[in-house]
Amino acid sequence: MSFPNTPVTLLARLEERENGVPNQQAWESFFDLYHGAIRMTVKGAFLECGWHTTPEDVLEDTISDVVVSFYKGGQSFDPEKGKFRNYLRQLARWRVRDQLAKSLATAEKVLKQGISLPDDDHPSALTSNTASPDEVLNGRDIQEYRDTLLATLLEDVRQRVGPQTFAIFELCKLQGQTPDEVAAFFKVKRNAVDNAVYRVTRKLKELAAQPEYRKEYFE
Amino acid sequence: MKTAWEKIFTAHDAPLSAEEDQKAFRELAEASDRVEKLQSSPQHRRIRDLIARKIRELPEK
Repeated sequence: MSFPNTPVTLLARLEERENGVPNQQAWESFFDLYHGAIRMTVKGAFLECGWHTTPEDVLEDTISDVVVSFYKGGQSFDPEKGKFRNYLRQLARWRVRDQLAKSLATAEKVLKQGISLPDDDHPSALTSNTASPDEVLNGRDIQEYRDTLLATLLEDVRQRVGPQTFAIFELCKLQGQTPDEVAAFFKVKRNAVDNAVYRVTRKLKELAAQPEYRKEYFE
Repeated sequence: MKTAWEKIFTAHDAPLSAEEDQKAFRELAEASDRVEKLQSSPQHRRIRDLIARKIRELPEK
């Protein structure tokens, strides 16, 4: 059975269990698409704590904690209550707070690397979360979310059409080959190429207009 | 003025000029490339391993 890859269904699949066994493919698909967005969000959460540079191993540990949080499903996302990226941002703040609270060694490591922390930046100070989830994201965050959303949309379409139809679309529209070149490559008539491109483009636009995509795209 | 993707996300049947269409699909290709590039990075593989390990260590529900 194939599943649509909308942001909401990707998240729902993370909580699926079959005979108590988690769906490994679900979190892998989710992470493959959302790595960039989660990375920027976690970096932003560290930045809010005054960490202008975060060691890569600390960043990776925190990113993995965020994905595992989704996987555990204890703090489910409700699309009726807001945008996914705001939810993700709040979750990232909690995991950054956990990261700092669980080990002073992490903070010491940052200090040893010559990164200055503000006077009030210590684990206990982070337990009072004053930042609003609706805070405006910076440009990099927005770019990452848009990349993720467009890549998710593309994956969604890929699952809804045949492999050759998608490959024709990909070569023509994303890789810039001419329809005649693609027709020759697949040994099909030019008309078949035009039809495939039209079908995939129409499906892509139909999906993009769905509320769950539209809501996430706009500010 | 709306960008090509803003038009697409607002209404799928909104007409796009040839230039807007080209720009929209170029942006889609670039976004997909960036995501794929990150997926093939060593960081991505390391984090996937970390997640897999942490999930294995979770108590069963």
